[in-house]
Order: sequence, then structure tokens, then C-alpha cells
Amino acid sequence: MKSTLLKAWGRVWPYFAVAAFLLILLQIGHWLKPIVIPSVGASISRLVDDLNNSAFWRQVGLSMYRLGIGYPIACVLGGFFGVLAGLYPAFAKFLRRFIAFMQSIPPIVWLPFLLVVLGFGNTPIIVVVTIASFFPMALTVLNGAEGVNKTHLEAARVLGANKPQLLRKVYLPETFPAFITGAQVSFGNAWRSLVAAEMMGGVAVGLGFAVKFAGEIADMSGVVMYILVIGIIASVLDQVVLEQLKRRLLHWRYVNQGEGK
Amino acid sequence: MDDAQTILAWRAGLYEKHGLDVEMQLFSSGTELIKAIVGGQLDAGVLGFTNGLSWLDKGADLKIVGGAQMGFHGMLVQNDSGISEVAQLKGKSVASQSQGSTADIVLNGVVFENAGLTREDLSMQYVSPAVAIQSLAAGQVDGAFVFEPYSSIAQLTMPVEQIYEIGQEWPFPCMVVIASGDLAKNQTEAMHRMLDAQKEAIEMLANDPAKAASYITDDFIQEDTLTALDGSEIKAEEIIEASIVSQTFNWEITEQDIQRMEEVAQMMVDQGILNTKIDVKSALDLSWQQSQK
Repeated sequence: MKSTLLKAWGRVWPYFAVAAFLLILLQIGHWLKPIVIPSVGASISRLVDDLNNSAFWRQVGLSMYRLGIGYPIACVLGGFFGVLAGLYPAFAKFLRRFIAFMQSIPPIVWLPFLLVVLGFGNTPIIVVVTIASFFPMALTVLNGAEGVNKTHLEAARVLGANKPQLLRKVYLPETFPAFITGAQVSFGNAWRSLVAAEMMGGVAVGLGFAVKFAGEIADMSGVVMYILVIGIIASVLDQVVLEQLKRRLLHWRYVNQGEGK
Repeated sequence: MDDAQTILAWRAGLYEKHGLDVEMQLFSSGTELIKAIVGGQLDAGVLGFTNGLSWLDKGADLKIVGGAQMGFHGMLVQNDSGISEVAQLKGKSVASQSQGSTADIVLNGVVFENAGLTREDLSMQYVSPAVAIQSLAAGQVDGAFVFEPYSSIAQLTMPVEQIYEIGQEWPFPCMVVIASGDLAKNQTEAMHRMLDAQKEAIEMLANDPAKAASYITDDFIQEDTLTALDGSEIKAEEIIEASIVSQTFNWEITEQDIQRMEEVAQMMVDQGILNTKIDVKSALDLSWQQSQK
């Protein structure tokens, strides 16, 4: 029993430490500039109040909806083109240069153009999220596909495997870890771009819009509360959902429990 | 360019003429500018007075010390839309500045209210004025509520027309000079010199808009010329001159202006932006203005 509790504490203490560190910084900021920076108490009280407010959940829900469409599309497309590049070296050369160029453009700069071309609402923001997460996904899978074990490839060819069989029996299993890692790396890009796109305009609901609106009307406890919410949701999705998914799907790669050991 | 007086005073060397060594910092919106004043990084700025009221509500030490520009916000629609008055925008989409901005407050509290509409009757899109006019031209929205020079640029270069301008229908002192409490209380002479320079700039804007445009055009339009609807080239300076002429700059805050500010403060309460109505008179420090008489 005691060792179970110790194990659980070993897993969760870093989260408590990060939360405590950030809250201490917030409180010091409040003491230095009380008009501009709200206290920890005011921020937490605001969060508790808003958790019972349907408008708050609407902001969260619509952001999750945009992420829930744009991010999986990027994962599927990135994975597909990454594996395709592994199968066709000429396409790999093209894709690598294309990614190098496109990845240097911050995804958010597409938004003013997309607003005029696609109109307002969810679509331009979903496209920004897809752009943001596609390139790291494709690059990670491409690297994974190029690193497929040559012995395995040659063995499969000697046994008479054709391209579809190579894809199914060699490339897909061997690039699967890269797919999972790419999904985790892409998530950070997708989330940051989602919030930035919602802040830039074209929508009147979403976490990014909410934090900007709070700033417009000098509602600084609202600003801090939404910053906390944005960070908490991203941490839960990344550190709990995606990390657990990775460990479950790739359990054969982990000789121990890593940090949680 | 509702803050043209500040930029003109800077570009034309009027601050130096009045014995000030100023450092000019440009912001894309009043909501960002006011944070710099509240945070102590800036001494004063020209911005929408509603930003000042929002922070006064939170206990910030600020003073409204002078006038700048009477509100100019035009509602633009496409030429062939068949829309000739605001009420016809019911059920349509309109692009405007950020929710909670001065423009948004009067759009809801005056423009829509007088047309018998509410925000819920339309689909509102909150974007920058540049994106608003481009979206209107591209047919992505049915109306765009914008200030200068975007209204003039759009009317000269895009198939759009202005059906409403709040400055003509409901004049109010949109832009004012806001100073930190420290500047207003402890550096009165410096503040008065700053306002003297801006007053001179306002006089140039009113009496010689062509000369004023020659100083500030590059701050608003990067190109030397823009292409008009008929294919002819229009000098950027001419567009800025037209924008200056279309606006009313005023360094004075009158009793009627204060009354309008009180009305806007009440709109901010009604729209949930202020918790309680601010006493506008307590936020004013018109010592410089009184010394002009």
C-alpha cells in the first residue's frame, strides 16, 4: 500500500511542483504590480466561478472541436506522405525541401489570407491548425521511413515482397513509433497555432478569443485564468492522453516505466 | 489614423520645438497602449477613452488630459448590395474591430441600437480594419465598420460605398490623450508641453491637411500610389489628405463631449465591460485646457 502511494506520488509530484512554481511567480507579480497582475486567490476564484459557467465551456468546447478536426487531418496526411516518401526516394527529396520551406513560415501568418479566401468561422482556423501540425508530423515519419532497417527490406524483397507488401509488412510497422512521436511533437504546434489563430480574429468563441477579449476590457483575472486553462488542457492532452497512448502502443520499446519508475 | 496628431507632432519635430525629447512608441491598438501606461512603461498616449475607463474601473492611476479626435467610423457595403441603411444589415455579416473596443461599444450602443438591431441579429466578425475591407471586397462579409484611412482607401480602390458615419450622426470624443497619474500630478510642465505640441499638430491637420499629409503618409500607406477603381493611380498622400479632411480633430474636451463620454460609460456597463459606471469627471484633468483660455 505504502509503495503504491509512493509510486503514485513519484508520478504526480513534478506536476505539483510546476503548478506551485507558476503560482508563486504569479503571486510575486501581483505584489509588484497589483493593478495589472491578479493574485493567485483571485485567479483561482475566477476559475472556479467560470467552471460553473456555460459560456466558459462553450469557449473550451469550440477550441477542442477545431483542434479535433485540424490535428487528426494533419496526423493522417503527414503520416501518409511521410511513408510515401520512404517508398519513393525522389518524392522524399521533394518532400524534404518542401517541408524545409513551409516549416520556416509561421502558420499564423496564413490566417489573414485564409480569412479573405475561405471566409470567417471555423474553417480558416482548422486549416491553420492542420498546416501547423502537418509538417512536423510528415518530417518525423519521413525520417522514420528513411531509417527503416535495410536488412528487413532486403529480406522482404528476397522473399518476393512487392511494394504494397513492403508497405504493409515493413514500412508501416517500422515507422509506427515515428508516427506516434510525430503526433506528440505536432500536438504542441497545433495547440499553439489554434490559440494564436483564435486571437487574431474571424471567430467570437474559443480560448484564444476569450483571452484576447479579457485583455481588451482590462479583465486581467480573466486573462490569467484563460492562460492557466490553456496550459492545463495542453498538459493533460500531451502528458496524459498522448503520453499514455504512446506508452500503450509502443510498450515493447520501454524497458522500464521511464520517469514514473 | 485617429491618432494622427501624435504622429504628426513627432514627424514634424513639434515636440522638440516645445522643448521635449520624446520617444515615440507605436501600438496597433489602444488596449495594448493603455497596458503600457498602466504598467509604467509609457507616460502618455492618444487612444480611445473607453480603454482608460476599463482600467480606471480596476483602480489604475490614469487621467484624461486632453482631446484628440472625434469618432470616425464608417459602415461600408458593396456598391451593388442594395443596402442603403444599417437596418438592412439584419441577418447579414459585418466585420468590425475587436469586441470590447471603442468601435465595438458604439457600434452596439449607438449604430445598431438606433437601427433597431442587436449584435445577435447579425453575424459579427472581429478582425483588423485592413482584413475587414479586403473581406468586404471579396464578398466574405456584407458590411465593414472601419475608421480612417481604411474607409477612404476602400472607397477609392474597391467597389464599396459608405452608408453611415457615426461622427456625422452621433459625434463623440472617441480619441483622447491619456496620461499616467504620475505625469499629470508630478510632471505638469512636461505634460503641458506635450499637449502644446499636439495642439499645434491638430491646427496643422485642420488648416493645412496637405502639408500634414506630407509628414505622415508613410506611417499609414507603404506604397507611393494606389490603383483606383477606374484604373488610374492615386497618390498615397492624396488619400491621407482626404482621410484627414474627413475627420474632426479637436484638442478641447467640451461639456457636451463629457456628456457623451458619460453615455458611453453607461453603454460599457450595459454591455458588461464595466462593473459599475465610472464618474467620467473624476477621470479628467483639464488643467492644460483651462490654461489655454
